[in-house]
Amino acid sequence: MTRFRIEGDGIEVGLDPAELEIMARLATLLESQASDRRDPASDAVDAPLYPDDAVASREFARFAARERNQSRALDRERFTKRLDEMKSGSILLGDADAAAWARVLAEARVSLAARHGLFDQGLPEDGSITTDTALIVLLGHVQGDLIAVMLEKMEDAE
Amino acid sequence: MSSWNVVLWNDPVNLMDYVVWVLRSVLGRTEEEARRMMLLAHQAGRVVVDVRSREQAEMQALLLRNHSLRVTLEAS
Repeated sequence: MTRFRIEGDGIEVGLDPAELEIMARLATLLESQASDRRDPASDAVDAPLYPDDAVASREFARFAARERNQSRALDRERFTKRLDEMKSGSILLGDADAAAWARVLAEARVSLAARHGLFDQGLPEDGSITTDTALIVLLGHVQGDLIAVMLEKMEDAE
Repeated sequence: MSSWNVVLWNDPVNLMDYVVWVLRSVLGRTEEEARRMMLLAHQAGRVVVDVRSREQAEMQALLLRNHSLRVTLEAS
């Protein structure tokens, strides 16, 4: 099944029922993480902004955290809303929807990797697979298919 | 006014094409520029993706971090 394809001005989504179920759980997982004091995805990407200036880095981090939390909440809301609409049939993602989906999938992959200490070294290359690493891989396939179509749309628009 | 480098760091989790898309959509890079920058980050561990005033560089960093990319700033 083709997960994503260009349809008119939008992107048609064709996730199978199992993938749809996983995506629905993903939004819940990310929402619960957002309410935790420590957010693995943020910790993974939020190295001090100024490596040589701890004061300026802390100041930026305070400002950035509020903005990021708002931005991620909006993305998750958009992601969940469109997923819910899939229960009654196929949906068409506009550009803003597709961008939100891409960011939610990235956040999920980074969060899962960070929780298992994989953000810096990557997925194990010895073939050992756990449920979470399998999920990171699956989400990578979904995100990769979406991004391929988004890049194709960009090319078409030029 | 001083200039600041916006530095994108390689990570082993985000997809290469995702990084290309972010550089295109957030920084307005062409496909060729974005792909070259992504590959440089992948090979060298980091790449300067923009040079801006401090305030503008912070905004760029914020936008890139909102896309789950690891970014820092350094004096140019």
